Amino acid sequence: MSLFALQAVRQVFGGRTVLTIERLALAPGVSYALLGPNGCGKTTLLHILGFLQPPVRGEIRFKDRVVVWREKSLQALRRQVVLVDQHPIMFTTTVLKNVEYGLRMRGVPTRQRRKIAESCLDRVGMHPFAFRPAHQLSGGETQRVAIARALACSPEVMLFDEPTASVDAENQAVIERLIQDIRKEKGITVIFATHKRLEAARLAEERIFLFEGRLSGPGGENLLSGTVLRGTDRTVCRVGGKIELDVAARHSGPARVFIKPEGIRIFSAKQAETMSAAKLLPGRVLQMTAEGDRIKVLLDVGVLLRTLLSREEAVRSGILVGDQVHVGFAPDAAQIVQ
Amino acid sequence: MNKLVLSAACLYMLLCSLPTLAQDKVITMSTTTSTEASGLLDYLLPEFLKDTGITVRVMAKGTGAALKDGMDGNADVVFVHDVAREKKFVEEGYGTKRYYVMYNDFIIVGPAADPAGIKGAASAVEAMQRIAAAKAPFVSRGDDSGTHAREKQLWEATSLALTEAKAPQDSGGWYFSIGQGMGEALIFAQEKLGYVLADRGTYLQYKFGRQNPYELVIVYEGDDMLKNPYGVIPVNPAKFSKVKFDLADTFAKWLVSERGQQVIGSYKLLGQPLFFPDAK
Amino acid sequence: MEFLNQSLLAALHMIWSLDPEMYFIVYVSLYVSFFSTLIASVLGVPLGFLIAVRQFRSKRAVITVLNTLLALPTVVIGLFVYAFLSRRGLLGSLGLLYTPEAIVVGQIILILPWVATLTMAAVSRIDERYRNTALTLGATGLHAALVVAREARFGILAAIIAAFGRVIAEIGIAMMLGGNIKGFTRTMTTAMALEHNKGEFVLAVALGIVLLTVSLLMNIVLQLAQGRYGANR
Repeated sequence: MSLFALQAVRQVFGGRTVLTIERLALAPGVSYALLGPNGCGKTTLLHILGFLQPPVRGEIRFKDRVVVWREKSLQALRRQVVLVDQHPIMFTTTVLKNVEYGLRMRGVPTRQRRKIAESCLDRVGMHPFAFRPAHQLSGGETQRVAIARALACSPEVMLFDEPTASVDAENQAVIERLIQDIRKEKGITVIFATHKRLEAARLAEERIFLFEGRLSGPGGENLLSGTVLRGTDRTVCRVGGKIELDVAARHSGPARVFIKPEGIRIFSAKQAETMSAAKLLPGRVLQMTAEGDRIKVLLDVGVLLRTLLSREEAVRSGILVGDQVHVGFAPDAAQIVQ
Repeated sequence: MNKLVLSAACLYMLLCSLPTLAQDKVITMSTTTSTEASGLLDYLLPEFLKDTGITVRVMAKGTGAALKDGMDGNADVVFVHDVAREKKFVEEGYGTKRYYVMYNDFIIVGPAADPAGIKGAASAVEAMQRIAAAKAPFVSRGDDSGTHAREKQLWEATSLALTEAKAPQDSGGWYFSIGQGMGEALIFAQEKLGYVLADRGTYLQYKFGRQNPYELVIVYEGDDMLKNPYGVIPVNPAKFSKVKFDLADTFAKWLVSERGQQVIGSYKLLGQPLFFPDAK
Repeated sequence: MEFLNQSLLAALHMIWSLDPEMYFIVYVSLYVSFFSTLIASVLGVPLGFLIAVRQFRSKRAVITVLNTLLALPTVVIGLFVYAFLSRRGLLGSLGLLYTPEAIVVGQIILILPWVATLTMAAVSRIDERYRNTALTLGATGLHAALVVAREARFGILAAIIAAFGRVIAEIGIAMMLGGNIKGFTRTMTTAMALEHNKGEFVLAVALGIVLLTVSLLMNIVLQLAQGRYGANR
C-alpha cells in the first residue's frame, strides 16, 4: 500500500505552472525529505499533500483512495495529515489554547484535552510557557509550539515546511531531534521540505528532489546548460565548451542536461594510469563532505559537478581535497531534462 | 520682486473693493419662514431695491429664532408675527419701534371627511376642542414659531387641561409635536390624515403650487382669533453698534408707506390675495 | 463668550438634574442607534466576511457597489425610504412612517455598507495562514472562518463602533423618517436642530455634551479592548 500516490498532478498560480509531477508514490512509515532551491515547488507540494489546496489537474490517492476535493470529505483526510508551516502562525490566545485547538475541533472533552496538550508541550520542552500569550514567543519557540500543536492531533502523517530554516542553531538541534523522535517512537510518516542537504541526510530515509516544479534526480545542482549535437554514430551533449557526454535526444540544439552523481567516477592519477585515458577528463577536487554514510565530492572539470562516493571507495582511491583527478562518466550518466 | 509687490497690491485692492461694493447698501433681515415660503419677499424686495437701492438678505426661520437673531445683533431688522413677543422685544430695548405692516390668516387644515366634525364649529377654539375630544390626529409645529404660538393661544382658550408647554395633557397617540417647519407639518398631517393649524400662504403653495396634489382641505377658517398680524422692527443701534439702523429703518418705513402697502396688497399667490396691508 | 458660558452652565445643570425631557431624547437616540447598529452588524459583518474570503466572478462589481453606497447621503436614503413607507407608498399600510422603527430602517441602509466594507477590510488584512492552520488542525470550514473572524475581531469591533457613531450623529434620516415627534421620535440631533431653530441653546448644548460623551465612551471601550488583547501583537 502506498500512502500517497500522485499522478499527472499540476498546480498553476496566476497563469504560471509551478508544479508538474508525473508520478510520485510515498510509502507509510517512511521519512521523506523534499529537497530543492527556493521556489522549486516544495511548499506547493506540501499544501497538496496536506489537502489544503487542490491541484488544477491530476489525481491524488491517499491510502489507495482517490482524493475528492470537496470540503466534506477533505475534513476527514485532514484529520490524518497535519502541516507545520515554515513560519507557523499562532492564534491570538495562550500557548495552551493553541495546542488544544486540534483536540477541540475533534470534540475531545476539556479535561482530556488539557492533559494531552500539556504532555505535547512537555515533549517539545515548552510546558513552562503554557499560559503565555502565544504571540510573545520567539521564532524557535513558536516552531516548537507549532510542532506540539500538530502532535496533539495525533496525525498519521506530519508535513513540515522548512522546519529549521528560520530558527537559531540551538532550536534547530531541538527540532531535528523532535522530528527524529516523532518518526521513531510514534511511527508517524514524516515529510519535510528543506534546502539543507545535511539535514535531509540526517533525518530522512528517502529524498525527493524538486527543481523548477519538477521532480529531478538527486542533486538538482548537477543541472547544466549545453548543446545537443546529433551525429551519425552517436548523439552527444556538449557542456562547458569541451565536455561531450552521450545522451539520448531527439532534437539538436540548446538543452538542459542532468548528470547523475552516481554516474560520475573519480580516479586518482595512479588509478588512471591503468586505464585508457581517452574517455577521462582532468579535474580537481574542491570539497569533500560527509553526508550520511556517504561522501559528497565537489569537482571542477571546467564546470562544477557533484558526485557521491561510498566511504570504501573514498578510502580506496585515497583522494584528498585539492588533488588533481581524472573523471569518467557512465554511459547513462547524462539525461536531457527538457 | 516688483511683480510680487504688484500682485500683492492688486490682491489687496480686490479684497478691499469686494466687501465695500457688497456692504454698501445691504441689510440682513431675519424673518419667519411664512413670508419667504409664500413668495411675498421675492415680489416685494425687488420693488424695494428699485425704490431705494438697498438689498435685503433674508434669513428665514421660526419667529423665536428670528427674534433671537435680533437679540444677538445678528440681524439688522426682524419681520415676524407674534405681537406679544414683538412688544417685549421693543420694551427690552432690542428694537427701536414696532411697525404694524399687514396681516394674513391662519386656517385649520384637515382631511375632507372631517372626522372630528369641526366644519360647523362656532369658533376656532371650539374647533380645537372638538379635535381633542375626538382624539383625531393633530400636528403641532412645536418649534416656537408664530404659528405654534397661535396654536398655544387657542389651546389656552379651551377648557382642556394643558401641560407646561401649553399642549393638551391627554395627548397620547393623537397630538404630534414635531418641531419642524410649516411645510413639513402639512406633509406630516397628510401622512397621518390629521389636522394642522397652518398659515394660508404655505397651504396655498402646497395645495395649488405643486405637481403632487395635496390631499387635505381647509376645514375651518375666518375666526378673528386666526388673524395673523406681521410687524417689522429695526434692531436698536444703541444695543449693537454694528447694525445698519438707517437702512433698516428705511426698510420699515417703506413697508408702511403708501407705496409699500400697495405692493403688499397687489401680491397674489395662485390668483388669491394672501396678505392684507393694515398699517396704522 | 459670556453667552456660551451661560448656556454651558445651564446645560450642565440640566444634565446634572436628570431633566426627564432631555434624558428621554437621549434614550430615543440610543434606542434607534443600538437597534440599527445591531441589525446592520448582524447582516453586514457576515456579508463583509463572505466578500473578503470568497472568490467569485462579480466580486469586484460587488465591492464597487458597496463603495458607492458609502457615499450615499442621508437625505437620499430618507427620501427613498419615505417613498416606500409613505401612506401612498408600497409599504404604507404598515404605518411605519414617523416611528422609531422607520428611523432604524433608514439607518440600517445607511450603515450596512460601512459595516460590510470595514469588516471586509479587516478580514482581508488577516493572514491566510490562520485559515490554513485551522484547517490542517482539523477544523471545519465554518470553524476556520470563525478563527479568521476572531483574529479580525478588533477590526470588526471598530467597524461596528464607527457605524454606531455614524448613526447616533446622523440627522437627515431621523428627521425625515422619524418626524422629530416630541416624546416619541425626537433624537439628540433632531432636537438640537430644532432648538437652534427656536433660538434656544441650553438643551442643544446639553445634548451636544451627551453626544460627545457617548462617542468618547465608545472609543474608550474600543481602546481598552485593543489594549488588553492587542498590545503584544
